[in-house]
Amino acid sequence: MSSNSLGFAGVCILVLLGGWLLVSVPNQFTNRLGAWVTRINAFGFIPKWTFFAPIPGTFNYHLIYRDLYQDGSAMPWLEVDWCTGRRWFHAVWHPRRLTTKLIIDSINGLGEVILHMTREGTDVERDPQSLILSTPYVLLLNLVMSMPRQDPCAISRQMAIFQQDPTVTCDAPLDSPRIGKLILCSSAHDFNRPQ
Amino acid sequence: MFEHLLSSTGMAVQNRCAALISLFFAVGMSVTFAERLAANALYAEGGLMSWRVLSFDRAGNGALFRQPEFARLLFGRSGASAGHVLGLAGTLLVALSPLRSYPFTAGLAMAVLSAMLVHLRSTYAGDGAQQMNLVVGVALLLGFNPWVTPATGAVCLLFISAQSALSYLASGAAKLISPIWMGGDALRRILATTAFGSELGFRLASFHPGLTRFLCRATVILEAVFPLLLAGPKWLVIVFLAWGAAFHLANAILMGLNTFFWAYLSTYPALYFAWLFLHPHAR
Repeated sequence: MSSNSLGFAGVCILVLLGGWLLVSVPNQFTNRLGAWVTRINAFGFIPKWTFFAPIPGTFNYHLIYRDLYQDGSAMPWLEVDWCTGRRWFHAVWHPRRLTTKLIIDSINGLGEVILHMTREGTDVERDPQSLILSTPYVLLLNLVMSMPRQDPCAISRQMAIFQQDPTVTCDAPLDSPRIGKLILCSSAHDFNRPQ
Repeated sequence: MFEHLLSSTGMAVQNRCAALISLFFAVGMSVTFAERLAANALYAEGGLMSWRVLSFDRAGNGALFRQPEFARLLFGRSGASAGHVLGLAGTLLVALSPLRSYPFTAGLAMAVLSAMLVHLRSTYAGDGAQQMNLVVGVALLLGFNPWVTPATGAVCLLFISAQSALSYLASGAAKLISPIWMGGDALRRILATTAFGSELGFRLASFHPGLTRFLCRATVILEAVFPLLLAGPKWLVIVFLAWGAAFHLANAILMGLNTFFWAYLSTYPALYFAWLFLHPHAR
């Protein structure tokens, strides 16, 4: 076999890589074909290259929780410190980005689940079952439930997420939609029941 | 059609390109696997990325996930760590072995298998660098093993260049239709966030709003027209690749996207190779 020919193995590789490239193209779109690729792409082997677009993440997300007592009273809200500030060495070494990306993905995923439920005509507040059983919700709940108890007598925990625009200054009007928005306020989750 | 790339000079270029790609790939993947090993606690039972939680997302995703014991062994903390050690060892072999040798192929197979296991485990916390590393790793493995012809190597380099060009085009085109990007405010607002920004980046972006808006739109346009480098003269290739390297370096410093730098740099020799493919008379 000459070096100029592909040979049988080369042809197979050409077909495989050509197919991979071909199916990567529609994955960059949000049309029906793109949605089909997304559905068959459960493992993410088909790349999606639209980084930070069309809508980039421009908000800070605050994940807070509080513990509740049997009588319904609650401890003060506490914040989960999940995102440390930028350090110079992150340019070469940044293991914390896994946590950051996981939580950002979960919050974005939660938004998609809520949007999907709304489109399907489900009232998310009255019928939150699908939301509670979604992976992003479970991931965030797992993080919140792993935080130490505020009081051993507390029986359950509630979490909330709100977004805040980091560029809004202190003198912005309080009714500005960019100043902050509650994304989710969960119901209480018992400590003693498997989550 | 590969004649000019398979002459003795062309082969030398192909080998140099593949060797550079392997080196950048090995560096980027070593950092990725080492970071995952350092963040090992995330995979522990009760950890943020424990299999107990992530398996929730994998129910119904195939036979592998219907064997809970096997899946736990593969994707639990020990399995995940073993996979990352395997990947790290593989990247070292890639860096230290000559192209098309058995150790090189074994190293690539280890790194690619480990990268695939990361995808199989979960797509959460994944990013574009991880996707590009998989593209490059698979292409190197298929094109530079001892059992295929050099023409196959050329196909694999062209595949890497096509995915790289597609990634810039898709990223740029998606920003072209975005009001926040075309309005010029996206860079400043992204750099203001704690997740992907930095104090330094935000201060620099706020220093001269007009210049920042210009840079924001310039980024979009340069990304969108990036594939044109393949059609242009040699100096244009050098300009685009230099801009790309500086762009990813700035993203690493200001946004903490450290692995993107290596993942994208690893595709640049393939882009140069593709340019040579399209310009047979160029020297």
